[in-house]
This record gives sequence, C-alpha cells and structure tokens, in this order.
Amino acid sequence: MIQTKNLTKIYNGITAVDNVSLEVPSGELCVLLGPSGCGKSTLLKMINALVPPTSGEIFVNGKNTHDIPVELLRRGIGYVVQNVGLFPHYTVMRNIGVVMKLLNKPKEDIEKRALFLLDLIGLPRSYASRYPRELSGGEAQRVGVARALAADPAILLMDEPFGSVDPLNREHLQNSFTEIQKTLKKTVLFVTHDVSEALMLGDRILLMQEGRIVREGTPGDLVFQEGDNFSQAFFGSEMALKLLSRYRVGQAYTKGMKIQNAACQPSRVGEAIPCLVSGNMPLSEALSLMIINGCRELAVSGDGFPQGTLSFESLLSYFRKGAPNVQ
Amino acid sequence: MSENKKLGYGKVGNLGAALYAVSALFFPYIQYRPNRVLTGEAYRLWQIDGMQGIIYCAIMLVISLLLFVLPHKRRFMRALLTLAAVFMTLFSLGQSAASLTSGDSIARASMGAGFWLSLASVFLMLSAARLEYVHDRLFQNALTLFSLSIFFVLLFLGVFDGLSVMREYLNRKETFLSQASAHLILASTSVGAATLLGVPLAFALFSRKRLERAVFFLVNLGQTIPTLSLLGLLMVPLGYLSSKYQIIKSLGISGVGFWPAWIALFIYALFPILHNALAGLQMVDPAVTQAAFSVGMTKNQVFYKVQIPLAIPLMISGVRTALTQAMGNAVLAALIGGGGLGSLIFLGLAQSAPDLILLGTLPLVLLTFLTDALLGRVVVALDKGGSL
Amino acid sequence: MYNKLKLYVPPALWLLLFLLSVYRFEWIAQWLSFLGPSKGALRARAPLSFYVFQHVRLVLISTFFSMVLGITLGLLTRFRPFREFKEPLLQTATFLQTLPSIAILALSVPLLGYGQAPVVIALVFYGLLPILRNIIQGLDSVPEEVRLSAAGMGMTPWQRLIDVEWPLALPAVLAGIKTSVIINVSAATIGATMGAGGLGVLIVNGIRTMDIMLIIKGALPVSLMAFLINSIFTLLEEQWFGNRDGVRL
Repeated sequence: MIQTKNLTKIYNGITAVDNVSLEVPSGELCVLLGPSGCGKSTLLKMINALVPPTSGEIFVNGKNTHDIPVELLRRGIGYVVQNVGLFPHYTVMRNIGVVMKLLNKPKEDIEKRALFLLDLIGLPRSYASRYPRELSGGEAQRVGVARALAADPAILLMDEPFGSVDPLNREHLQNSFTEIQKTLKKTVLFVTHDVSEALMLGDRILLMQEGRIVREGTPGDLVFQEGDNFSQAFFGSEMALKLLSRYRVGQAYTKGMKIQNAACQPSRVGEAIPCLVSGNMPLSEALSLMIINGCRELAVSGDGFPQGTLSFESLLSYFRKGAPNVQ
Repeated sequence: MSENKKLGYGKVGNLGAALYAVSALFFPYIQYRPNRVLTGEAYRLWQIDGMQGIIYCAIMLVISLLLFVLPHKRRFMRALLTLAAVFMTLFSLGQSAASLTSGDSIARASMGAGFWLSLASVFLMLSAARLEYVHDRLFQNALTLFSLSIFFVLLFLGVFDGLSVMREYLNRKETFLSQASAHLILASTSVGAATLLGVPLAFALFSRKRLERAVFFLVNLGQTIPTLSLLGLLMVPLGYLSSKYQIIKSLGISGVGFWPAWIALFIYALFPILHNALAGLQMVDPAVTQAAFSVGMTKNQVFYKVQIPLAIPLMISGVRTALTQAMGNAVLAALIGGGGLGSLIFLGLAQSAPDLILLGTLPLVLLTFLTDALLGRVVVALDKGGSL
Repeated sequence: MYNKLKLYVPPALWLLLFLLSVYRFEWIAQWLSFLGPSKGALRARAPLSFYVFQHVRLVLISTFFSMVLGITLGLLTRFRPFREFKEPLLQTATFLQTLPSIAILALSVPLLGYGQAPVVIALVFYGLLPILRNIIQGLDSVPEEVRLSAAGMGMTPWQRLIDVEWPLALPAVLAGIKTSVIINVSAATIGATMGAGGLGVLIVNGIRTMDIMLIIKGALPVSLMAFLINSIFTLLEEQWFGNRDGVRL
C-alpha cells in the first residue's frame, strides 16, 4: 500500500507537487496521468526518496518512509524508468540480479529467479548472457520490468516505462504487462502521459494538473462522467474508443447463434463464411473489424467453433449504464 | 530560503579568497638577491619598505574579507572585487620589487611563493566569478579580458620594471624581440603551410576508405612520436642530403638551423590538421547529405555547399590544436639553432639563470594561452551547426 | 580466436623492434653506416639499456603518481563537500593542458631546481591533467537514466560509484592514462635538458655534437617505446571494452 499525506515539493520557488494526498491500496494498478511537467514524475520520485519532499508524509505499507533508511526503502520497491536505464556493462542476468545481490541473496537463487523472470516476460533464456546493447528497445524494456520484479517487491513504481518504444512493441508490452500483473497482483503506481495507456492499464486513474490531482476514478468513470474543461480536453473526444481496448469480446457478446448481418469473408472455395473472432480480442479491434467489413455483427468463437455473436447493439448496451468494472 | 542568507562565493571562491589572504600574510612574496649570484632572502608582503607593504597587505586583506561578508546575491560587487584582487596581486608585486631594488642596478627581486599562491587564488576567484555568470557569456569574457588588460596595462606602464625578469628583458630587449618574432614566424608559417597542404589533402582523401584508414594509422603513429625524437630523426636525412648534394646545401637546407625545425613543426602540425579535416568531413550527418542530394544538388554542390561548411569548425579546431602545439614545440627549435624563445630558455637552463628561463617561458605561456583562446572563439563563432 | 590473436600482433611487433633497437643497436648502426662514421655512439659512457631504464623509470614513477592523484581528485569531485570544485577543476585542467609541456618543465627549474625530482614533479603535474579531465568527463557522461535506476534500486552512493559509474567511466579514464603516458614519454626526453637523464640525453648530445648515429641511438628506442605503449593501450581497450558499451570520449 502506498499513501501520501499533503505531499508538497517546491523547486526554486516553483511548486511542482501541491499538497497531494493519495492512496494506492494493495494489489491495485494506479495510473498517474497528466501532461509533461505536471509533477507526476516528481511525485513518483518522492515515494522512493529520490527527491526529498518539501513537506508532507509518505507511507509505504503503513510505515512512514521518513523512518526507513533510503537504501532499504528503495530495495523494497521495484522501479522502472523511461529509457530503461539498464546497466550497459552488466549482462541481462546481472542486470536482473542487481537488487537481489544488494540484498545478499545466494547466487543460485539469483540465477534461478532471473531465468524465471525471463520466462515470465517472454524472453528466451539464452538472453541471460547478452549485454543491453544487443537487445532491441522492446526487449530492453522487458528486462527493465524483470529487473524491477527481481526481488519480488510488493510495490512497483513505473515512470513512463514504455514511453520510448515504438507503438507496436508498446502494445505488446502493455498486453504482457497486464497479464503479468493479473498473476502477480503488485501494488503499482504507473506514471504516463498517454491517455490510451492509462485507460487500458489502470485499475484507477489519477489525473494531475499543475501539481494537483484534479480528477480520479476508474477508467470507465473518467470516460462516462463529465469532467472539467482541462480533463475533457486532455482525454479528447475519442476517449471512448481508447477505453474499448480494455474490454474483450468475451465480456460483451451474446451466446447463441443468430447471425444476420455478420461480416462475411469470401473464402477460397467461393462460399462466404462469417468472420470469426476470438473471445480474447479487444473490443476496439472488434469494432474496427465491423467498420472495415461494413457489418453490425461478428461471430464469436470458442474452441474454434462459433458460440455466439457480438453485435453493434450488444456492444452499445454493454456500455449503456457506464463502463462495467471487469478485471 | 537559505539562498538569501548565504554569504560570499560558493566554496571555490571562498577558498580562493581565503588563500588570497593567506598568501599576503604568511608566504614570502618576493625573493631578494643583492646580486645575480648570491642566494636571496625572502620578504613577506608586509615586511617591505615600511608603510608601503603594510598598506598593500591591508588592502588585500580587506578585499578578501569583503568577499567573505558580501551577501550572496551581490555577485556584481564580487566580480568587481575580484578584478581589484587581480590588480592588487600584480601591482603590489611590481611596486615592492621596485622599492626593494630602487637605485641598485645589480640587485634582483623575483616572484616568491606568496605571489604564485596569490595568483592561483585569484585564478580560483575568477573561475568562481565566471561560474556565477554562467548564463552571461559576454560578462564572462569581459571578466577574462579585463584581468588580462590589467596585466598588460601594468606591464606597459612599467610597473614590473623592478622585477628581475623585466631587468633581464631590458638588458636583452633586442635579442628578446627578435627571438620572440622568430618564434612566432616559425610556428605560424609552418602551421600555415601545413593547413594549406593538409586541408586539400584531406579533401582528396575523403571517401577513399582504404587510403583514409592508412592516413589515420599514420597520423596516430605520428602523434605518438616524441617531438624531440622527431626533430632529431629529421636531422638525419636532411643532414645526409645536404652533405651529399650541393644544391640542397645551397638552398640553405642542412641538418641544423631554421629549416629542419620548420619541417619538423610542419610535419607535426600536419597530423592534427589532417585528422580533424577528415573527421570533420566524416562527421557530417548522412541524413543531411541525402537531403542535399534529394533537393537536386550535384555531387560537387553537395561537397562545397554542405559538407565543407559543416566540416569547417572541426577543421579550424584542428588548426587550433596544431598551432597551440607548435607554439610549444617551436621551443625545441633552439636546440638545433633554429632560434625562437627556446634559445632564451635553454641558455637560462645552461647558465642556471632562472630569470632568463622565466623570460623565455612566461611569454610562451601567454602566447599559447592567447592562441588557444582566440582560435577557440573562432571555432565557436563558426560553429553555427552546433556540430562540436 | 583468430581475431583475438590478431590483436596481439602490433604490440608484439613493436616490442620486438624496441628490444632490437636497444640490445642490437650495432646491427642498425651497421645498416645505416652509409650516413657517415659515428663519433661517439658506439662507445658511449654507459650502455644504451642504462638510458632506457632511466627513461622508463622516469615515465613509470611519474605516471603512477599522476594516476593516483588524478583518479583521487576526480573521484573526490563526486562527493558532497568537493562537488563544487568539479567545474573549476575541469576548466583549470583543460586550460593547463593547452600549455606546452616544456613550459611546465622549464618553470619547474626556477621553482625546484635541476635534476630528476623537479622533472618528475613537473611530469606528475602535467600528466595528471588528462587523467583528471577524462575521469570528470567520463563520470559526468554516465546516462541519467542509469544513474537514476541505480539510485532507485537502493544502491548506496558508494555502491553507485564503484559498481556503476566507475566501470562505465573506465574507458574514458583509460584513454586519459594513455594520453598521460605518451605525453610523459615525450616530455621525459625534454627532461634531459634539465638534468633528468633518460634517452633525451643521447638525442640532445647527438644534436649538440652533430653526431647523427647518437641521435638515432636515442630517438629510435624512445619512438618505438611510444608506439609500443600506444599499441598496448589499444589492446587493453579492445580486450576490456571491446564487447560492451561504456562512456567513450
């Protein structure tokens, strides 16, 4: 659990963080969203004591961070920075093992853990002996996440972790991070300026402007409830589309086959078959398919067989009473 | 918060100010010798000639004290005080030397440890003052310029004439001036010729990969050869040729004298000039040349309108390195009868006459500093593309 | 394997040539005998190896102290009370490095007198400048995100310096040491005019007496020594940092 009370930071007379009180309950992925320069990074850095607060208090797992030696505090918190910051002179294995080594864990444990983490983030084990410069941007970013997870910290601080990766890889990373988070259930404070990323990943979003938290709520709340001008402008009018990527076809479809307007793809034998989508597909992709194929319904498959349909109407009705809370 | 209550410079300037006071109080400022041979006695600043020394010392102490107690915000006052400190360091040196040796043409007064320490502390304060004006290049340069002109004004006013170095200078005015100009000619003409040869050579070599690599290898080796060794090795073929062929000898080229020194300096200057000219051409961003081609420039146009202008700052900085090096290396010319400031230095070394060594070395230091600073400004001014 | 071995060729070659020039100088003299008879080169007061050892000792001692002082000063600037001195130190080192080595050497005579000790002191002082400069710049150019993640993972300032910043700055430091040694080899020859001995003695005496063979006797080993040192450092750079990223200047 992370908690701050009246946290303020003043740099040379400029208030970067202004009297912020927030709480991230255990197991929640909380996104700090805001334009650059709104103080979100500074807020994050104050939590692991990289930046001393001007006033206010921080509690990590119920303990005031002021009473914990900084190094001990930081070793208990996973930290992922933008541009990864892997140590160029260490192999992937050593990079992942840094914190465990600081905690004096035996060497075998470190190696075992590193290999486990490589599996978890979806990199081949042979990468253990590579140097960071031999990795692609996306791979390095994955190793960065693995390094933060190495000592199995309860808390993870992520500062625009996928910011420097190209869009395609970013989506991959976001998806696999969602999967990892589902199993590990860490308490995460995630800083980003990317609305889509926030809507896709966050259990809860805190919107920051000029050092203050101006809005907070679940992604659905933020999209469906009206906000002030700043918040509306920042989220943009296509925010609903961005929200769609959070949800899966499997959550919104209706069982049973009543296909009328399903998209038909010409097959090789000349017969038209209905467009079959998996229940795992994000709703955003499903909507996109409807538009491309000019249809209002898609057939949903389970185990390779059609099991139901997702119609445009069912999609609308799924969101009618605001965004459903689905993990 | 505490910013407003802070006093004085930061740590660097405060150390300088403290050393300034210490140098005036506790260290021998002047070495006095009744004549050139006798060993001297050391004088602290306040021991000199009754009230005079005490007054200088007091002024310097006051400057140091003021620097400590001025509020941190008054940086302009501090810059002025620093200039005053520069003035006092030099002025008190000259005045006390003059009063110690007045009317006594054999007596010698030279700089003592206190003066050198004072000079170092002034340097610290100046760099602290420059640091306080980090965003004001103009003021920074003005500070350097003012301190230099303080020195030169005092020099031309004859304030230092009592110092033994200046006595040495006045005794050998003719020799000094001719050797100094020989030094300048030796260094500048050899570097000029190396530029004239090196830059076109670099253009010719550019993008011939194998040749380029060979040249880089040779340049790398050449820069490693000790200068004195190169000078000596050069005497071998030149001496041999001149003894063998009358024509070469009649051209004035032999193992000793001006030409071997000139040729050695020329070769030595070629290394950084070639290296930087090639590196400058190679450093031009391929995206920029591609863009130039894509707007329809011919190969020649790209070379003259894009590649050369972008490579020029690095080329000039190669010339800067070469000329700065040549200023120093030209000293060695004296060893083979090529003249220059080195003849004063080596004569001083041979006769154990420290004043003569100083008379050769101090102008050398000044010349090198000025060359480097001036050409450095040129590089910065030319570097519009920000490639350095 | 073949590529690794190839790296050792230049140093081995220079070493061989260097040893030849020291211990088999007669061969070279014979080969160059068309240049004219040698006056004193072959019956010098001391064997060539004596001057070589004197020279090497001069360079080793001064480089050792340059390294110790330069690295200590450079590392000190990373710690709080000395942090403010970083910029002025860097500026001073850069400025003093533009001065010719002979000026520093010549100035040491009025201050410290003749002989080996003053020359060593001048060499130490002059040689520490490139090391100091490179260590400061090397430590400065460690990427910000690397610094940040090292701190963020809970490394103490000391661990950060030793485990992260120092190894990353090491290539730059090594380059500084290389410059320093090569400068010292060169400057030590000039030290001969200040009574420090070494191979410069042969060159200077050769020049004074117009004895070409004597000049070669001094100039050849000292040049080969410089090449050898240069190639050894290139080898070390390839061996240590060839396959990983570091901060290069």
